[in-house]
Amino acid sequence: MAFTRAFRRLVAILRRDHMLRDLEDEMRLHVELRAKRLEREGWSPADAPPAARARFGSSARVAEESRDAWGAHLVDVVAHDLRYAARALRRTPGFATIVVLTLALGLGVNAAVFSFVSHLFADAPPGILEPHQIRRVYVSQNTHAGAVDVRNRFNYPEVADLRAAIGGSVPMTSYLADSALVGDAETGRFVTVGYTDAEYWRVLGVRPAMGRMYASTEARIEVPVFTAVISDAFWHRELGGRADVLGHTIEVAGHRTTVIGVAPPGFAGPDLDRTDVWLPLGAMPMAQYGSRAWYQIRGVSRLDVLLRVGSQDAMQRVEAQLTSVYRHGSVAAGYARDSSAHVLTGPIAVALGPMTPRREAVIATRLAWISLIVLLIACANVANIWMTRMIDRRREIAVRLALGISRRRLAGQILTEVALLGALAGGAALFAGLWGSVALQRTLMPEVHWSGAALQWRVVLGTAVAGFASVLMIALAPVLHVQRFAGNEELKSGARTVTNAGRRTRGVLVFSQTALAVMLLAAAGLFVQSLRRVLAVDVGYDVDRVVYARPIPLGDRGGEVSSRRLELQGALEETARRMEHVSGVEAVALTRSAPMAGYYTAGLRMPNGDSLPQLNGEVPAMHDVSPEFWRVAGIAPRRGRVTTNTDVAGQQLVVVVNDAMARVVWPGADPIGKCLIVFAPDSPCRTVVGVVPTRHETSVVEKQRMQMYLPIAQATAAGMPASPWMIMVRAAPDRATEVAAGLQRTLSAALPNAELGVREMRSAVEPQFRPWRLGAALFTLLGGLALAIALIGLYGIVSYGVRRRTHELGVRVALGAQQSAILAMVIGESVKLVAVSIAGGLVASFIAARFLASLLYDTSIADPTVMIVVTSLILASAVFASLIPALRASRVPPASALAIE
Amino acid sequence: MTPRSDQIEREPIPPGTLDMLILKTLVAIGRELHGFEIADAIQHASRNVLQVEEGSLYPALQRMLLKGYITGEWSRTSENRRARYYRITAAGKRQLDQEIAAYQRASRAIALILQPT
Repeated sequence: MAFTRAFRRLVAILRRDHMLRDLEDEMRLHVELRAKRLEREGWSPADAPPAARARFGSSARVAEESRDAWGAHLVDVVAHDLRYAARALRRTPGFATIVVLTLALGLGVNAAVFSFVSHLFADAPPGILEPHQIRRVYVSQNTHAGAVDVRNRFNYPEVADLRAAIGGSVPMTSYLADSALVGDAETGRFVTVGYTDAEYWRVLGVRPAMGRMYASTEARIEVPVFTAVISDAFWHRELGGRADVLGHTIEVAGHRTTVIGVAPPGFAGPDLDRTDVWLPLGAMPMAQYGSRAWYQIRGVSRLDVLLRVGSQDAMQRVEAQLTSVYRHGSVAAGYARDSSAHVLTGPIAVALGPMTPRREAVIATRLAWISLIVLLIACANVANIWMTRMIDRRREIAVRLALGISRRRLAGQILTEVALLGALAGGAALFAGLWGSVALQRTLMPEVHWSGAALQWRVVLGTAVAGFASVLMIALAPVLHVQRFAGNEELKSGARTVTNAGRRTRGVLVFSQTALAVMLLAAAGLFVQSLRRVLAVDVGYDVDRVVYARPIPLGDRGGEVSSRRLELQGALEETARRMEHVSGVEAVALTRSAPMAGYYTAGLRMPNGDSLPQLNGEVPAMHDVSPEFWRVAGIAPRRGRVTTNTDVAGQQLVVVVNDAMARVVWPGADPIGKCLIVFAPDSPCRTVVGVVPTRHETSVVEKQRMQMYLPIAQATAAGMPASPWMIMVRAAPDRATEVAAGLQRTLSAALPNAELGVREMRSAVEPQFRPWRLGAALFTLLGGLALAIALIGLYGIVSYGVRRRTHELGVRVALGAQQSAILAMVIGESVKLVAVSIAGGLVASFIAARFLASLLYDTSIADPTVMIVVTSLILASAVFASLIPALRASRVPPASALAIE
Repeated sequence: MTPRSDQIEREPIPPGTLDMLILKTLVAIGRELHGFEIADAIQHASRNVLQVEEGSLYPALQRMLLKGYITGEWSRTSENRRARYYRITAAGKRQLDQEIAAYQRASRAIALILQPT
């Protein structure tokens, strides 16, 4: 039954032209028969046909209602409305352009942010077999400070423990991704290289597109084997897709490496960062640690671990198993028992895992909300412009209503017009979004080589959904307006009154878009304020003057460790001597840790054997420095002295502490002359000779930390005299870049086969400001867009109001109102409207700002400066937006205003 | 020249009853009818009280064609004009019974409210 009915309906839709002709025949017959009947009843032959037609009613309406019944309705009506909409919009290209641009802006911002966020939180990078089965392994531990620390990096002995525990029951792989120079120093490029075990390929389910993957015999950790698998992209990009690539030799981090396989197209490793070259773990260049290699100690945690687990149950079993093994392993290695340690697993995407998200990722997710607000503002604005247009077209609408068009059809036509523009805007938004997403990737996370296609189907779908929702939101006000439209009033000549309903709706729209803009601007203000404070942070170094290098010798790992170390020390000392005579260099120091990028900790005791108190749950960070360090860093002692070149082995053992350490360890006492036992418990006591100001240990934004400095000549490392690893140079003002180049030249002469790692401290620290800069820049950008859109809306409503009131204004002028009074009245009204919006926006931003508080530095969400600046900015903009219409109003010539009808 | 208006006051058909009246007419007359005849028959059967708003007859016929309550066949009138003749189907008769029952329930209820107390 239902089927035959649907069938008849389908026939009706398909044959609607034919059916319409039949219907017209029937109606014509009816009217003719009626006319004949009327004639028989005594009507004149001339009067009967019109009377018959009158009795029949509107045949157009009958046809329309019948078409409704056929369901042809949809097809027909949509086609007709589309034509009508296209015609109407062609007549007003300016209006159409503004609407499309505004909407495209709102949708485009969303597409860009959504694309970026969905990329970041993507289920899995491409090319991996059944990625939902892959679990990334994490370990969670309580820190001294009581916080929970989650990490996804393991050291090799831990990995070996885990592997032994699960045996072959669960496929497991460990790998690390590192940036390495591929090719020679002249033409090579840094790409992401994955150093992996042989199981990597089996666990991820990746089969070679060409050649083979390395076997387990080649991937032994102790024996470096320089064979590489390259990505399809790398093959095409760097090697020109040459057919004889197998057996070809490339240079990876200074080693000649044979290409044995090509990964399938699309596969770029299991991380956000696109991996281009894979080598066996053993081939990784790593420093020796005393007599042992990196994989023999528990200090170098750089390996990611992935498992392939089929079921939820199996996963929980494995987690429990790994937790117990992990705890046991730490104990066996002589580490204090950490009963809080838990091994967890998470999805393959790190962003979905249990670790604290990166600040950039948090900014991105917050941006998603902000971009939705921008879209809302855009919608409110378009709805507002649309209302103005409706009111301009009220006569046309009234005439059409009088001619018998149903309000439903009118509403449908509005919807079609909005949808048409929405579709145009959506298309434009996808292009803008694609571009914007790439721009976001480059600015938010420039160090990541993004893998995967930029345009995902879900972005297209998301944009379509957002566009659809926007169309409905925009059409709502005009459609409601049509429903309440008093058509016949409009047709009376001289009608000047606009329904209050329309005005109220538009008032609400302007209010909400301005309030939302206030909210975004307030957020932007908070970020700018926060950035200003971060930039003003004194990290304790003359960041613009310091240049440093931490060279890592490349090549064979053969030879005695001590001789290699002596070679490095000799090269550094040689370089230091030469650099002192280079123009623009003020001082040169040798140290064992990079400024704000490394420290070490060691056993510390009071002379009576007590351990030291902690600050913020942390023990002092320690540094071994040469006497020139203080001049290079620009640090002067607060009390006592800093280390000098008389503090050498055989003399009194000395240390310098920072003020935080002095305060915590010797509260209320003078630390100078106190002593501390460093390293082994039976070591001699070291005397504190000076107190220096605290400098930042790792980050621009960090908790205060205790710090301690040893003269490098008196320090020991693994029981041997310590030797320097780094060279630090202080440049004359504005000459850091030049000095860095000089250091590069001098160092490469002394150490021909090494990664030199020369950096200006400014460029090393700069990335830390990036999230703050980005937050400020992106929020300001979106806030500015929002303000611009809101102003267009305000301008629209004020200028429309003036046009509508031309007559009234003319009367006022005729009655003697001053121009200035009219100006003040018009501007005053818009300021009044905006003042309400500001109040609403500020209240909303107080509530919303809590979501941003964690992204701000030392800035209250009720920052008064921000509030004042935002308020005055909006008020000034409101005056500006209403200035032109107000001027026009004040110049209304009364005669023409009164003659306007 | 316009004739005097009829003495009888005419009522528009109560909303929602047009389908029922059309179906009943087709049953009562017992043969195929074209649109004009249906309108005429309703007016006649109601002793000229009910007047079909003639245009609205056709969308109603189209709706019932689609629902399968009636069928329509093109044929010729006695004056050799092409006309579509409608005939009630079994489904239409069932529908008519249901509508009559529903209508009687409703009108009894209304009568209860309106009867003098």
